[in-house]
Amino acid sequence: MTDQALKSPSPIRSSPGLNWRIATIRNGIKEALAYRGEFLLDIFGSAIVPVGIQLMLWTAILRGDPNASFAGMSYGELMAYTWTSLLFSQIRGGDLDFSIIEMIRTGTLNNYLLRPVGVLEFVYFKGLGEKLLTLLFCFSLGAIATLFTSLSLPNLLMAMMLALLGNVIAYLFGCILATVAFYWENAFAALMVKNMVVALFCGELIPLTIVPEKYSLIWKCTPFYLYVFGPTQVALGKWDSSIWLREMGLGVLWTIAFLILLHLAWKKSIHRYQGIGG
Amino acid sequence: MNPSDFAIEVRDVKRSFRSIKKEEGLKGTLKLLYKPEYLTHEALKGVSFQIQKGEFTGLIGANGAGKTTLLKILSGLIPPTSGEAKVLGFTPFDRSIEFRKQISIVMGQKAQLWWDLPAIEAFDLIRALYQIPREIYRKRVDELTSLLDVTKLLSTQIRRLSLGERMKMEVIGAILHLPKVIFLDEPTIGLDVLASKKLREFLRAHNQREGATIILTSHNMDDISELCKRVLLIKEGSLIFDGNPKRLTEQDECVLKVKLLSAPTLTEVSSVLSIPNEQVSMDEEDPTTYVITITRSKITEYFQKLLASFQVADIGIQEASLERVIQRIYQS
Amino acid sequence: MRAYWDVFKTSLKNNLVREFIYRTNTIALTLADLVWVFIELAFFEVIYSNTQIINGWNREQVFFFLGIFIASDSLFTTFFQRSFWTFPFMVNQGDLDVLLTKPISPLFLATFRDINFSQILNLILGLFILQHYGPSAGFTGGWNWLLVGFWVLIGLLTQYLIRFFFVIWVFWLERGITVSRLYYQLYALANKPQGLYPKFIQYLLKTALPFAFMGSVPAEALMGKSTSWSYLLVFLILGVYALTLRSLWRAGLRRYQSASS
Repeated sequence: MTDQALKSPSPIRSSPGLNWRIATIRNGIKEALAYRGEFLLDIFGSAIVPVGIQLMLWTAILRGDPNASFAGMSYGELMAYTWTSLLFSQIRGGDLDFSIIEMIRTGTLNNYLLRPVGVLEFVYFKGLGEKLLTLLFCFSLGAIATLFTSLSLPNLLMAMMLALLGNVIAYLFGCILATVAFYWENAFAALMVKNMVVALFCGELIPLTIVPEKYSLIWKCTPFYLYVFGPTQVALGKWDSSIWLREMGLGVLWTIAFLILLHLAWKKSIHRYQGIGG
Repeated sequence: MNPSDFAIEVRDVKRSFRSIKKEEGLKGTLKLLYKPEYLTHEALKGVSFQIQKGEFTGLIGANGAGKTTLLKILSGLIPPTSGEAKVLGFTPFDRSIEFRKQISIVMGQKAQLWWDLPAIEAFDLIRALYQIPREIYRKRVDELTSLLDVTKLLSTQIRRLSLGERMKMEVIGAILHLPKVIFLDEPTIGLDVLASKKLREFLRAHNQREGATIILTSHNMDDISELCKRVLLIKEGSLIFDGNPKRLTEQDECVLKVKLLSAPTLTEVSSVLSIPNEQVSMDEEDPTTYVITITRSKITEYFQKLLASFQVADIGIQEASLERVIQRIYQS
Repeated sequence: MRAYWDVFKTSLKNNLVREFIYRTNTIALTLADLVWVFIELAFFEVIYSNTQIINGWNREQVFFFLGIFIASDSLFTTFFQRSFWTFPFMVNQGDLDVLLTKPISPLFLATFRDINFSQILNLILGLFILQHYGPSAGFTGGWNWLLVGFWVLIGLLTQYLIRFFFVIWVFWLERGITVSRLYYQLYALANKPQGLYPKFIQYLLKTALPFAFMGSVPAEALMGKSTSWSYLLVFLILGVYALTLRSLWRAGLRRYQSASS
């Protein structure tokens, strides 16, 4: 490693202390509340519409016949899956990675690099406020649902933890891809492809159990199923606490692996940026 | 004068905007729903003037004085709230095709040419928009780009040009179709001295050669004093001066440069002349020369006082700069 | 009229020049769009690996539907997608001013600004899918390919009108971008055959929110599943849409001009 590389501020590590993090999260919550109409409209659009389509799809396939089954799942089970996945599909994503490539492309990244705060962490915490609000909203919905469905509160809590871990993984993965922007004027094609693949393999469109056995290795080799499919299985009680523990462990491993990869990718590419930016 | 000699006629034009007043916090937002309060802002309070064909007119005023609003009314982007504006005999806001073909607007703050393309491609789109015959178009591009020294840059992407080069391209793009009326909103903003000078020379030549009527707004008084034989000064929505900019500078104030051998303090000089301290300063290059801003009408009186109190080695009179005059008008 | 054709041609050429300047980007987007098609197909492949028929639509028919949907969607994306995406920003930042002073319809200039050639491959792919699944889906080919052209254009027109309808509110709403985004969420209704939906939704998709004209109705017509009434319906609904939008556009411009300072 060169001297210069040692001296350059790390984009990931930040000054210690919680203050700025809490302040950043609080700002995020405030902003989401200031535009609550938009916040709700967005949740409506990005959650209700796809769920509605799925419900209609399952109904069409099974024609509402309660005894028929589809890929081993009964109508009731498909419905339960779809409704429950709604609680997690809003927590998984966000367009934070898109805002990072935009920062790289336009050069506004410079402003952040000078602060004593890791830019990637800062962007994450900036978006976290809104996500926590969403999480709270979804958790409350789920908690209400425990009153008149088979959903249980402990399961719901475990599921939320998995979903939050999934959110971290999703962000880290997005950031790794975003480093493409250092080399390439327009990296959003990469992020778009990622989003499309994730949408299919996170379990938001279909329960992954219906994917034919011969293709199932594809989704099992990615962490994407931890975003929605995993939490939904936990909440529905299909995965017991031992599987939950195993998947949480796997999630942590993914996180560590991505953190290392991110560090390497970012370290390597940031010099290129500084070279251009002058 | 025959009315058809006027390119622009503006009669008692007023324009006001209404905006909703938003108070802070949730309460403020809720209030918007049941009892919105409106704020009315009068951007133009009855402006009248006429501009002859071929005139090069400056439009000046502080930020928010109403210059841009007036330009927008004249170019047909917005209608006046009341009053009448005519440009080349058209009502601008009707935005008839014939009208739009004969005008052009350049906004220094807003790029019209497409950033990702070389200028020559962007010009080609303008050719298509105004249906300029290809032969004439080619000749004009050659001519205009060589006048502004940018011929070599024609196939460079606009985004890779310097600000000055880009502005030159913008101006060329705006006059390719030889509009009869050209509105220039801050064309020299951000340009260095050399680039603005070049652009000014070009604009003056174009005005003389093609006889186009040009209205120019600028905060750079060199633009105005070098180019415009007439200036319209707007303050808070009203026209407060209309005439040759020389008249503004000649009007009341001038600057005396006095070389005094006895080297008095600034306060001594101002008290002898009984004028405020701020009106006297030291020349930056020569520490024995004093720069005194005075009212023109009292010039002999000051001469006598100076000669009576100090040993005067030299006296010179300078016109006040347009910049300074305008500044005073804004502040008063 | 000649001016419009000339502007269109020049714009086409200029956009092509731009695509060549940013060719790696163009290639990347082309690949991304191919992945999108692949995902669309994979979704139904997974569904149909578990069942034979859904509400009277078998696998071949659904793929045939996807073929026509992808073809018309690729045309929309090529010619209009980006312009509509940037439209709200243009209005908010006052950049519409520039277009209003030009001697050509500002609507034409606003919607034909940004052409994106990365999708052309999808058009070919869509037509290929049509050709491949056509015979087993009940499409007889031959002269009927002319009808394919007709329906692809109807799909294009439909998407133009609906997209426009979702973007026009930017004149009135401070953050109109949200409504614009809602379009993409509702768009998910378009890329599945309408036969999958309950009757009420089907009705909605053929009237107030005519997403069905982008793929379902064309596919049904080409497979001989529908009557000539559907032609009449399409013209009627699109006509109403176009007229409504025309007055909304005019009102929007008035609003833009009165709010501008």
